[in-house]
Parts: sequence; structure tokens; C-alpha cells
Amino acid sequence: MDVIIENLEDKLSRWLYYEYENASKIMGKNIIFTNVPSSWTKVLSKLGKVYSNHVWEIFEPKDLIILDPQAEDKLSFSDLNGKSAIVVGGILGDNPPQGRTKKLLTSYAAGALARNIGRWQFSIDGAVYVAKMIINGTGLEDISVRRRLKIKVKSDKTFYQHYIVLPYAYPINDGKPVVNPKLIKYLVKRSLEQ
Amino acid sequence: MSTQIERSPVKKILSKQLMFAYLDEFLEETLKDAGYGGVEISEGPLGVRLTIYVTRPGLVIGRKGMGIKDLTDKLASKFNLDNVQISVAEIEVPELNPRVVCERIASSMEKGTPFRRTAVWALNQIMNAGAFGAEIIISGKIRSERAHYQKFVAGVVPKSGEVSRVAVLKATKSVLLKAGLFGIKVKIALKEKIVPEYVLKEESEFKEGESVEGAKNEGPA
Repeated sequence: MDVIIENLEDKLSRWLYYEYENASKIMGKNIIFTNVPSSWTKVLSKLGKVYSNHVWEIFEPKDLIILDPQAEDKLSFSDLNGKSAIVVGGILGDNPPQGRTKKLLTSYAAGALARNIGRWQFSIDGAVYVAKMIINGTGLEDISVRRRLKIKVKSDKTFYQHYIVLPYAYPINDGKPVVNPKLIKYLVKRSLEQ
Repeated sequence: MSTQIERSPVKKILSKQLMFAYLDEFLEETLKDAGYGGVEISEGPLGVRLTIYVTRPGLVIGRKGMGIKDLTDKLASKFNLDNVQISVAEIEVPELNPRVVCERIASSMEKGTPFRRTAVWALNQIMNAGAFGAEIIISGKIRSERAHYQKFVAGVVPKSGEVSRVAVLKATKSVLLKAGLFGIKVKIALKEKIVPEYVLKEESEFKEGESVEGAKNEGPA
């Protein structure tokens, strides 16, 4: 089963790219990017199949499951019966969440099955990881999730400590949160660039 | 039969507290330049007495007390307060007042100073003034494409128990910059209010810039 990332961002920022890159690493060949502007095609084609059309224009909505935090029911293995792909919104969410996945994705793909993977807002690669685990038969309740990542940027014990806190949910794999290490390095570098 | 419905004492207290919160907000906006640090409100049989804490009392009092008179009139008309008595007090150590620090960080960010420099400068000021600990959180789309927050901590800020309620002063403020809306949260732990029995634990070592640590709320999705 494939995982489709319907891109909903206007700008390919580094943060977005690093999340897409990690999502591609998690899913291997089974990842598809849709609604990709032509200027991004070259970059994203290295990560997976790329389409410029919306997901609901390429696939039959009734064959799709959309991961939407505002959906009423939780995703389970039995939901995958007769479906061909799980769709994740390619969006850098806000804190607090604005519910843009519902506005920009679920509302257009009428007929698709909307499911949530918990009440928190996941990163794109984190949501893809959870989707993969469900495809592999793991129950949602068996996936550990860490809310908020705290990254230590600088620590001067005689004076101060500096942290970056990402207020999103990250699934845990082998005791570590699923996040692209390049993203952590990028954020630390950006914070110290002054 | 009386048509007037009597309000419950709880509702009366709530509406009064709400009015005091609006009054505090109004004073914060009006006395921004004077370094507003909070207000103490006490109600007596003769009326409401306000003690306003600022870093520059002269700006509130004005020439021949004109400033304070204007403020009294404004408060009386805007909040329907009878017989308001205002006294102005100077904040002894402004660096230990979180509202003042918040305002200073906000105005520094408005001027375009990088947020990290601003936060570290403010932490330095707070700690040099004799605080037990301080924490500054700046949230928003800070130098990146997604909202998150950056936390700066010096010393120790108790997070739970009675000590966190008694010894830690908090203030929040939002500032609208070109890049969007940013939130500033300041917590200051006062040394003199920390009980002597308070014991500190040693923190473990870590590599700078690489270690990833999770927050406490771990559990199933």
C-alpha cells in the first residue's frame, strides 16, 4: 500500500524538504507526492513519484484514507480493506493547529475515508511513520508518541541554557523520536546564526 | 413583585475580577512608557484604591499631579469607578519584575534586535539583579517556516509544588512584528522567597547541539 503526501504548502522550505526526505526514507518506493508545483518536480522526484495534480484528481477518493486530526474515528488496520493508499497532508502546521488539513484536503476529496491518528498534531514524516506501522499491522495504541521535542542548543552551566521546543507529536522508534537529524542540525544552526 | 433578578455572589465576584483584569490591561497599554509593572487593587468603604507600580513614577504623576488626575478621570469614566484613589510606587528592582522584562524584550524585538541576543541580555540582567532563576520563552515562526518556541533558562525555576506558586513570578506578552505574531513569556524565581529546604539536583551532561530530548508527555497515540 502506498502513502501519498498531498502537498499543501506554497513554498518548498528547508523544514518541509527535510520532512519530505525523511518520509521518503521511511516509505522507500511506496511514496507519492501530489499537487507539486513544476518548479519542485526535479527536487522531489529524487524522493518518490511526483504528480502536479491533486490526489483526488489522480485517484478515486473512495479508494483513499485521509489522515486528518479533525476526523472523528481513529485509524485501524481494518480500515485499510479495499483501499489503495493513505493520504497525509503535506503541510507545516501551526501551533495551535488551524485545521487546514480538513479545509484544504478532506473537504475536496469527497468520498474518501477520513481518520485520525491521535488528538495531537504530527509532523509530516511522523504521520507517514504511523501510517506505515498501521499498514504493517501495528495497532495505533501500540505506537508510542512523544509530544513536544526539546532540543538543547547551547548550555553554559555557569550562565544559561538554550532549547528549541517543537510543539508537535513525534512517534517513537527504538526509543528515539522519528525526526530527520538534518532538521535538528538546521534548526540549531539557524538559532545560533546571530 | 420585584422584576430585578439578583446576581449570585459568585457572579458578582467574577464580573469584578474581570473588570480588574480589563483595568490592568488598560493601565499596561496607557502606562507603557512609564515601565508599568502591575497594580494592586484594594476595595474599601470609601472607594477603590489603586497602587500602580512603575519604573518611572514621574511620567505617571505628571506636572503638578496632572497626569494622575487625568488617569483618575479616565478610570472613573471608563470603568465606572467611584472615588478612585491612585498612588504610584516605584519598582525597586525592575529587572525582577517579569512584566517590565517582558515589555523590554518586546520593545527590543520591535526595534529589530535578534531575539537570541535580546533574551540572553534580559537573562543576564535578571540574574545580575539577584534572581534565583529565570526562564524566557519566545514563540512563533522564529527564523524558520514553522511555529515553535525557543527557551532560555538561567539558574533554577521551580515548576511544581508550593514553591513554584510562591516564589515564581510570571508574565506574558505578544508582539506583532513583520514576520508575524510572537509570544514572550517570562518567569522569574525570587531568591528571598525560596525556602531554605529547597534542594537542587545536579543535571546530567550532554553534547551541545546534537542531543534530542523529549517532553514528559509520552504515551500511545
